[in-house]
Amino acid sequence: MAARDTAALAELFDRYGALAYGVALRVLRDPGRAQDAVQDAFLKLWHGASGFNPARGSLRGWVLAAVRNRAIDLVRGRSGRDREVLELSEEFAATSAGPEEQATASVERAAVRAALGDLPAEQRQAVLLAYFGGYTQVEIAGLTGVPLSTVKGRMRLAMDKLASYLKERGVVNV
Amino acid sequence: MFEEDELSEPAFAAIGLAVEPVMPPATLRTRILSAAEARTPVVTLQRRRLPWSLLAAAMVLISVAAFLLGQTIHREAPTGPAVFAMAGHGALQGAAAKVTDLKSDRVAVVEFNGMPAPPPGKVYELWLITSDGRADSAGVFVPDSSGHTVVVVDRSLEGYSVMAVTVEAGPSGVSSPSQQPAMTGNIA
Repeated sequence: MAARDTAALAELFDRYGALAYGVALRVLRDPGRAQDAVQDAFLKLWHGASGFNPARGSLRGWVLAAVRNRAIDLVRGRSGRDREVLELSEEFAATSAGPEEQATASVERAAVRAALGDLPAEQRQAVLLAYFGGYTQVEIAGLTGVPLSTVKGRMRLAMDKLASYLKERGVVNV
Repeated sequence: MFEEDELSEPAFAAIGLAVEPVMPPATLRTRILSAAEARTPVVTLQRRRLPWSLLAAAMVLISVAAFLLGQTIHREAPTGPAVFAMAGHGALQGAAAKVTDLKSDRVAVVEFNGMPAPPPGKVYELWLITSDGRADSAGVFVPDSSGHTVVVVDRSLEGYSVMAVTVEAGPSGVSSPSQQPAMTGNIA
């Protein structure tokens, strides 16, 4: 990547393109805009590949963050911020890591879903609004009708629980 | 936004792993690699000192080659990449774009820099305009937070003389420009 090798970019896309597109679709709910987000993110990564520092996280985490950030950029440009809000909280609520899912390559996805499912509903709602909606804590407070200090507290608790749960299962190094 | 230190926490980043991967269309891979290749910088060779006599001989050879190449280009239709520029004015004063027309692939890559965020509810729309004034939409886009983005025009630029950008209603743009372009460039 750092040597501007497009073969490396192709390999990166083949490895993480589906996950990146899934995240962009989840944020944007629009295939065309999701493709734009993935394209922008991969080109930005390729252009600034020398900035990747393995000590600060995995290549997958680097890709995920770039795609999510670009998708949030795009969703924030939408008129009326027509983002879906309320159903976010329920999406991961009923999921749990069943034995057959644990046995497959999707074990990490199952672990993250289970960790989110284990959170109290209001904490889960707060982190999902932040991650997939790109909402600020002030905006989340307005959307959910609770004081900002409560949102901050829920976020902090949620992050600590997620970190602890994922660390136990070896999913911390995204 | 979420607090900066929390945004960078691995646990926050891990939330993305909860999403089911979705296979993107094959055209997306092609678009990305085409755009990357168009932006591949020229490799800089390490400089070595050459004797003046060799430099002089090289200059003569280069001049002859350039003359012969010029003759060839005049005789044959160009099929290699061609590069054009677009400049912003008015609301887009200071913004610029580099258009790389990959003729053999029938694809053009447009790299924008210095673009301000469009007004709320608006997007930028890219137009291809013929010499008789017909404007065909080449897509809509929103630059990233640093004012940069790359747009791939998935068609040949043949038959068009001007590329232009207007600000239009989002998220999908309009079928014909509603205002005078704020960025233009000749592509013929």
